[in-house]
Amino acid sequence: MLTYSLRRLLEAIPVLLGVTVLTFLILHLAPGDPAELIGGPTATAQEIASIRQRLNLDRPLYVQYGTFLWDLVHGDLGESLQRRESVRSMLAVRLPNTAVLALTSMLVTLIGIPLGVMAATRPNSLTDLALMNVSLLGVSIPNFWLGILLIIWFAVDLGWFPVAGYHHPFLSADGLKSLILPAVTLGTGGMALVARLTRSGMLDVLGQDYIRTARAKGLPERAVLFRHALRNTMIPVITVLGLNFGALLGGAVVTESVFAINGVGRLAVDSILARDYAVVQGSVVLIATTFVLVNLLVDLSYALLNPTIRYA
Amino acid sequence: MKRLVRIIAIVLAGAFVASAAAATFTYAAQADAVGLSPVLTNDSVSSVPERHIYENLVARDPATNQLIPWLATSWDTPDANTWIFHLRHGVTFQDGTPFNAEAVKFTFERILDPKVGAPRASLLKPIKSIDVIDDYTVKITTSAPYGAFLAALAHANAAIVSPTAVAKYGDLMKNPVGTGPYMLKEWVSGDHITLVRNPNYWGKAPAIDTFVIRVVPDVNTQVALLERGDVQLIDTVPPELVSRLQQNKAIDVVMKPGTPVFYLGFNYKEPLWQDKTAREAVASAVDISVISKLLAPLANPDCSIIGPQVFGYVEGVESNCTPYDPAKAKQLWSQVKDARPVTLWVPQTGNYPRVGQILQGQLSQAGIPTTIKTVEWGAYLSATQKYEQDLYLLGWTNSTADGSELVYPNLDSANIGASNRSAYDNPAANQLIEASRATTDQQKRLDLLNQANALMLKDVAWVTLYDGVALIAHRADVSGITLLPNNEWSIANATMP
Repeated sequence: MLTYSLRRLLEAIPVLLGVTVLTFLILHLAPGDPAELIGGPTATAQEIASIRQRLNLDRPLYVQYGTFLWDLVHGDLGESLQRRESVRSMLAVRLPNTAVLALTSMLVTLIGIPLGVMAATRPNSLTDLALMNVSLLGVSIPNFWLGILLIIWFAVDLGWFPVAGYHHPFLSADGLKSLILPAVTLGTGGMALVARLTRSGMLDVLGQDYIRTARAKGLPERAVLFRHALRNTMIPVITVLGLNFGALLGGAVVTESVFAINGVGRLAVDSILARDYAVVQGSVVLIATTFVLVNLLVDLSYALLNPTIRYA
Repeated sequence: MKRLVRIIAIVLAGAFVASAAAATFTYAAQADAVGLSPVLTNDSVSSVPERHIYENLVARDPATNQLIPWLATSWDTPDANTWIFHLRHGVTFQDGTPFNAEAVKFTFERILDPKVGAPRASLLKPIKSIDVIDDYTVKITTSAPYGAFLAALAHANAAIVSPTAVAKYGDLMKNPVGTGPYMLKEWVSGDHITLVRNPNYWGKAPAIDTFVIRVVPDVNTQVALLERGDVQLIDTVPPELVSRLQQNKAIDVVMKPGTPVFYLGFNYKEPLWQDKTAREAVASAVDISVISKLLAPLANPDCSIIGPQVFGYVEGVESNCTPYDPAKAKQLWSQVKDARPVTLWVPQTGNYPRVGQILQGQLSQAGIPTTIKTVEWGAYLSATQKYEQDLYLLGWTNSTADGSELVYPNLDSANIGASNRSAYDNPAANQLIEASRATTDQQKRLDLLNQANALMLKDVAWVTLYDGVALIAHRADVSGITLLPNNEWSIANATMP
């Protein structure tokens, strides 16, 4: 397993290199110029030229990419073109907020597993019908709308939670309160999806011979459901959870914007709009690395769920 | 008993003083400031903290919008190319550096230095030399008479910076040091900026102790925060939410006719738009009252290029506009030799997409087949500068509130390839615009600008759609906030409980 993990980590290097090349090319091929955006509509041609010179954008593309790569291997993500601030420190401020948002919304998403089990054990009952319709609603509601509704009901009208922003430290009454609405907003869609996946997986597994055998040898229903059925249902669910978690760590732009959370996703989108090449590249490297690591963890977890899976 | 009353009185007074001293004013901004150096930034969010940290030689009176002495107490103009500014005594920067003629010379030379890459260097471009006469007198010589010089000096980008701070920090993007009533305490990138009162401010000390600029990108969240009293001011309210805020007794909505102008432009590189009949057909097809109704109360219908809040506007100039007449538009379009379906370029930001849809409907109804092309802002700026557009929508904030600084960058042929995004080239207009810049006689300038405005309206240089309205919504218990027609506001004289 260790050899496998190391091999996967080594394989990640060309993937990340490819990501940087693609990001660099796409950014420079896309219309729009950071100097024009810094200068704004009022800038003269001379002003734009001197901004380009100040930001070293007048150098050939391969020189710009080479400088970025050289700095990257030395652990330096460069400096924001627009803000003249170190990209590493910009990401360092935002990463904890995004990680907390991802973890708390993941907790909400996990509620989908018991809901899916509940629905599967009572197929076509009123509970099943209600749970599946609610989950359909959960998948369909756009985040920005749900977020605003929750703010109006629970923050403005009832005053139970703060309207927006994270309160530090997180492990305080105000801190925990500030986590709830964003986590529910972001986690609801995932929860609904996981509930539906768990239900259909469970229904499939519960019809298998080994479940009949387990019941026939007199195992209690709880052991049948959770030790035999659920464990075998979890592989697709874990795959979806892993991908979902990777995406959440990459940033949930809409939720971050609605709740004014200073996260990585908002930084990446704002930087794309401002054509702040250094910040976009730094964010993409971070997001891609997170994805690679989360995928590796998901793959390794398969072996824990199904002992027949071996890595070499 | 008397003693008890005295103790209670002292405790209450202490509590009052403590609460007054702890007064924190929070503003919800849609984005984080780009930086806090007036030399290197050119965005509206950065200008909010910058306007409280730095000051200019000249300022605008919020009541009249007229230029008034500020860090310069007076000035003489011995000839049309020479300006002698007498500076205020007893002013120091927040780092203790004295404010003097050297600081003025340093700031302006830095703005003009091409290596610095200041985005608004053009404001001071006519300056030929800056000479320090003594500590409190500075002489500025221009290469040609510069009519809008004082207006340019009042612009946020011409604020005076501490030379010592620049030498220490390299630039002031993260370490601002000015002479203003507030100074930087903390900046958490992407989250908030905290300013505190400058204890050594030369003028009247501000009553509000702490000023927080908090980043809240979503306007609906901003409104919820204001309604709950978590923030004291917002300044990006969509038109449909204005009446909701007006009905709330805890909130004051302040509106002023503004300097921004929004227009429908023609790309003169296209042979179709060089034909005046085609431009007249478009102008006749546009009913500007419909657009203002859609954006009410944040738009004032106006057909003049130089609007009523901008120097250079003279009442009655509207008689030169092309009136709305869809029947005439149809007839004119049928006479256009190179008539073809047109593409209306619309930036994907603000109210432009909504305005674009109305215009598409109006043009199509008048027999001008129109399709919309919506483009992301960064790509839009780039494409319009390369003249890839056909018809297009854009606006101009008019921060200086001087007509020369509107028509020169946008419609003078000297700026084709840069800020003249329509490539409009009318020698008669060029002459009037350039003459308005090259005289310091303000009455003469007004006359020249009015003539240029009338001439370009008759020529249908562009179709003005509406003027913006400056708006802030703040908690009603805060008083004394000042608002200028260019959307700039200040809490320097504000008080709150």
